Amino acid sequence: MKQSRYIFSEPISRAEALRRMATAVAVGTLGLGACDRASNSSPVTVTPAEGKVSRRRNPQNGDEISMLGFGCMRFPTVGGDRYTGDIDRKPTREMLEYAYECGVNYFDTAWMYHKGTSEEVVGEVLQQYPRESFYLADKMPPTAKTLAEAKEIFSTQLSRCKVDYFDYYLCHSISRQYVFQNLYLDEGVLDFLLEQKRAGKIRQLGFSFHGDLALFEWLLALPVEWDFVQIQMNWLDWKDNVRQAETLYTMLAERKIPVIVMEPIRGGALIDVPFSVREMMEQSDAELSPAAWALKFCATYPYVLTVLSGMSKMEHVVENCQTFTDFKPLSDEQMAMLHRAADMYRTNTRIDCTDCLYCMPCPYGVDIAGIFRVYNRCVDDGVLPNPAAKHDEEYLSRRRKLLNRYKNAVSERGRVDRCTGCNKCSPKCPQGLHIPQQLSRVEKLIERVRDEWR
Amino acid sequence: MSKKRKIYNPLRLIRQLVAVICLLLFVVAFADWGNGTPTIDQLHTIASALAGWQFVPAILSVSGTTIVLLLLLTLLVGRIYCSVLCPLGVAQDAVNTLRNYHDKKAATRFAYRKADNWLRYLVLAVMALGIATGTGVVVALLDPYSIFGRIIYDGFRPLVQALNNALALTVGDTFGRETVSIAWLSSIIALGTMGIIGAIAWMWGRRYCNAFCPVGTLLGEVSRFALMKIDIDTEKCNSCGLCARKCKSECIDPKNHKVDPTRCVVCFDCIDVCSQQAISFSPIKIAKQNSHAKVETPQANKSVVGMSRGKFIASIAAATIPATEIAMAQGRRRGKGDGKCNGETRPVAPPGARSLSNLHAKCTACHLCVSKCPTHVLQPAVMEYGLQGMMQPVMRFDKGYCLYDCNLCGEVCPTGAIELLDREEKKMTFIGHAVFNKEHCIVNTDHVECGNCAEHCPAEAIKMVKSPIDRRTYPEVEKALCIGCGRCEYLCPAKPLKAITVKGYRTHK
Repeated sequence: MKQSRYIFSEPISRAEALRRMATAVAVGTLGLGACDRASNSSPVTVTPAEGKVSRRRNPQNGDEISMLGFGCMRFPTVGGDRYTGDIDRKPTREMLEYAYECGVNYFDTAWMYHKGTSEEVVGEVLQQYPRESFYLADKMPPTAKTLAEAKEIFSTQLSRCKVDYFDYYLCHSISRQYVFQNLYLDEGVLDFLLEQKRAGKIRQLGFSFHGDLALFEWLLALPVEWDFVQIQMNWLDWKDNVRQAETLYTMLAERKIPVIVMEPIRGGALIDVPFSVREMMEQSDAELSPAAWALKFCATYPYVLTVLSGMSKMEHVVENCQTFTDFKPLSDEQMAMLHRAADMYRTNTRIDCTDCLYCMPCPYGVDIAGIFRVYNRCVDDGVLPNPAAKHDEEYLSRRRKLLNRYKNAVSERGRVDRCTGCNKCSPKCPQGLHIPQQLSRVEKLIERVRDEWR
Repeated sequence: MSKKRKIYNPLRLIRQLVAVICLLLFVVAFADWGNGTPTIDQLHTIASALAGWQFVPAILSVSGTTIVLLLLLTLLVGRIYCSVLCPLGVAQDAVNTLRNYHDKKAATRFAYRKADNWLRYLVLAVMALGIATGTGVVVALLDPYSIFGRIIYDGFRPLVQALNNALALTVGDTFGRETVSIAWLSSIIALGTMGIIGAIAWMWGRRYCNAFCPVGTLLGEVSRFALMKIDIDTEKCNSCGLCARKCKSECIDPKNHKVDPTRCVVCFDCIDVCSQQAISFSPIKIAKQNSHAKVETPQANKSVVGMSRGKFIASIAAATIPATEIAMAQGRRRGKGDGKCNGETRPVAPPGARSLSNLHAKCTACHLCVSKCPTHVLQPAVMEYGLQGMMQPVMRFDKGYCLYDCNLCGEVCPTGAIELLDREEKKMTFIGHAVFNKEHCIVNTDHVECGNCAEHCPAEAIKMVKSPIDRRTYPEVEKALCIGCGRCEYLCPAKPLKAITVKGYRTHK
């Protein structure tokens, strides 16, 4: 069995089991064509016209949504940074139009994006297309305080976007229970939105989530039928202790609620992956870029309706459309590889050493804390060199920085290769680190960096 | 000092420029500072290439093209090599310039003197003998390039390192702390030679080059037949003798209007100093035309030496080529028939040296490899190789270990003493093998678990094996796989004696 090779804490997780079952169902129903609206099955992958982005059919209402959704939060800007600058309209228009031509039909904007101009730009561009040919998602900002304000916002949003209705509407960024309680329940904004849904101004109602598990459970337990939920999900957050994407996804899948994925590349962090992870990716499939791996990871889960990507360059749009054209899910091995990569990513970041020196002195003179300090400093400064990408511009300066810091902070007799692995240190570590293992990790990096200079 | 003096001689300027560039390149290469910075790495590469153009290394590496080109250059323009390419020569000029700057009168302190022929021919003969018999230490002590290399590496590098460490402490991580390594014997010899040659240069300019240096003597002999020479126009000359007093080579005979080509290093200083512009650097034909003006001509020189140019070249070739052949043959002969280990720790020669005898025969102990070695495992030998291999590079596994994927020493070696091995080939070159001594192993003495040697062996030649006697795991060296890189020895935690040590092969496999 393949899953026996997984390094999950449990041999096969709930979500994993579900995913397998669901995949089997999806494959089984693929040939049947139209899918019943009331069907309890997961979204079905639809094969689009040749060269177009693949789509999934929303079992709730039959919408055929492109698996790549255009996140409208990171448009190119001029005059200032991403927060202060104004949208650079010309390239933005080109990107949106290109995406539309490629078959992307889900556009996710919000009141707060680009100081409100995101809605305006999106509306302006989409105006030229038939209304039923795209799905527009907008969100009620958590900054709204009263029902009147919410009503004002909603009507402004409709006019800004130049539409009569929103296909998908979300309660934006739910992260605190009292915020939801105050605005949506006490003020009655939720009732207002449900009303709009009945009136046809909102076709599907959901929420985007950034809170903890208790809040999530509480939201799902509310006497509201959520049509969909938007969660932060990517291969790094899948088993993350804070984001708990796996748990959230599983809870939604159990309730047959379609999932919309945000932050699939974690704001770009999953593009600049550590060398060990990049190596694993290249070994598995050299043609997939880290971005493609990240997007495909999310889309491989069957309850995922669409994966939102906040694209800010034409190259992003082209690459992501390419990723989802003729979409094939990742294999079990590849998914397992990404889970391993996530473990590795986590271990390739900081070492949880607090410099308490309980481990010292090492019987063989290894300057444990000093070595960890050098390593963590490089991680913190974001200058850890990546030997797998040694042709990068910054590699040589990073290499010199790491090696110089190492030389300056750790005397020759205390260097990491003196560790015999006797492991007398680990029991003394209040952080529970397996010190020889961590040392060996640092050693491998330093040696590669030192030796691969040409 | 007439106004004509103001016209600056472009030849001299060019000579000075090129000389300074060469000198600085060698200083950068031997001081070996700032590795990993792309610009400095490029300078190192250029300097290593330049080292290949040094005369003695070219002879030792039997690099025919280089020898022929250097001889042709000398046949064309005389001993310009000594003025431009030879770092020791340029350094002496620098000392001389320093003194002249210090004391304006000193610039004209020289006077014509006869050549110290007995001494220079004797040294040349000793050098030839040294090369022919493959006696490294003789060659090392006489080769000007290597003398310069050691002055910078052994004499000044500890200072450079100390300065670097001071910067690392104060400025921070732009600089990386180095372990200051001083090879005492080599340092004393280097500083001693520097003192002697520096003092000679301070007092008498280029006396060392003209009375002692074997390369100077050899090129001087070739220069007799040079096509371009310093020529004194007797019609213009007012016999003031300023050129002779200015000549750091002490080779201008103002009375006879003659320049001794064997000692002239073609520095163009005299051209610059002559107020009558009577001195020029010109082809000998013009000199021949002027021969009726009773100027000493090459014809006269030729009659003194008594052989033609062609014959002379042939004789040089005849002298050098067999000498190298003999040296190589000896290397081969010595290399044979002893790879056996008698239990004594033999010195380990760096990979690429092929055999101890090859190293001894070809190495001039310039310490370019030592300065380049990234782990500092290569160190100047004291008496590890015996007297004949004194100062030659030896693997010191207490200082470092040989990087598996590194062939830098072979890359920079100008003499072929350390041949450039392909990096894959290097990984398959067996320079020695590790020997395990259970008595010192901490698994035995301290009853702890260790496997540092096995864990770090790049050739995977060390396995941890459970002993049936005490049920503990000890390293076991597979001799056939061990390449002798010494990483195990360097990392062995046993004190004071290492439990695993490398024994070198006389002939590498």
